[in-house]
Amino acid sequence: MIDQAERPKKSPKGASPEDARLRQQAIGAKLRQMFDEVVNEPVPGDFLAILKRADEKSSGGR
Amino acid sequence: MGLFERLAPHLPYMRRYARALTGQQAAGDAYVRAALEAIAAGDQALPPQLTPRVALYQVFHAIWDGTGAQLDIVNDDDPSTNGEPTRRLMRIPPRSRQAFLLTALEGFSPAEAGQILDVSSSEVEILISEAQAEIDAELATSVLIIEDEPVIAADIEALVRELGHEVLDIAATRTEALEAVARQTPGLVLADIQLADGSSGIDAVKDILGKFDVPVIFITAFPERLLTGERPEPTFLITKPFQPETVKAAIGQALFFHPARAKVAA
Repeated sequence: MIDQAERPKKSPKGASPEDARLRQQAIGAKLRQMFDEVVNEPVPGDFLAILKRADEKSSGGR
Repeated sequence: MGLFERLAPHLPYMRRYARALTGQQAAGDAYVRAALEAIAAGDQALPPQLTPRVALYQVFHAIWDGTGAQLDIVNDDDPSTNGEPTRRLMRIPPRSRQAFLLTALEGFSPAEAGQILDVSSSEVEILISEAQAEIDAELATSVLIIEDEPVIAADIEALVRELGHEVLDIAATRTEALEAVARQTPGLVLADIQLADGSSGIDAVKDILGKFDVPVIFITAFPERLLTGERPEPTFLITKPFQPETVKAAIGQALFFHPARAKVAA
């Protein structure tokens, strides 16, 4: 059989970084779909309150 | 610019990442909250040389590393765990899981992931490779190839073995495919559509899916047959001629997100 020319050599265990990245991007794209609802739901109010309080404190303290 | 203005836009993504990393929304949110409190209290500074998003993730990691990185117990009863994909994520060791999720899920460059994790880009590359080795080992299964052209079948076989899978059999016809699955249950089926004796790979797959649940990837020069005909689910579709990388990516995706998977027979 004809060997494909000049493909990067791989260690027997694991993929080349480029190969691994392509495969991980495919999984990452599906993970983003899976977690879509998390991104689209409102951020818990107390998270925002923590930041607002800190901003008020630092501007009030000046 | 205040903290609110700088950080609030990134919180939805921070929560997504925290959930993916910890396996649960409640646990993830607890770490995000702790990180925000540490920033607000001045215990954790946002490094000015970093973008707000990178800085936020960096503080999150400082908190996570310092407290709970080992507490990765996924409660199967929790509906927020998303089942098998989440369990597969949790099997990747924490450091590699971070590098994997920062780049593949959150879209950070290796350099940014390095800033977040406080390691060099080359160390990030190593962590990413380790994550891939872990994923490959986790997903390793036996594969049935339904393909009547010997040269293409050999290409697919080589590619499947490169990923660390076993090839259960190469079937050239619907009948051969059914004989193969009667002998042993595959964890993945790669199927051509037009087979040697005029039989159909779609029919073969329908027969197989009638017996057990298995992820299927069609590799075909005639994608329109699948688009117009009733396409058995769950299936992926790759058009010939194919790039090996495309097939590899689809195999990883199909296996990673499939709810139940047949293990390689012990």
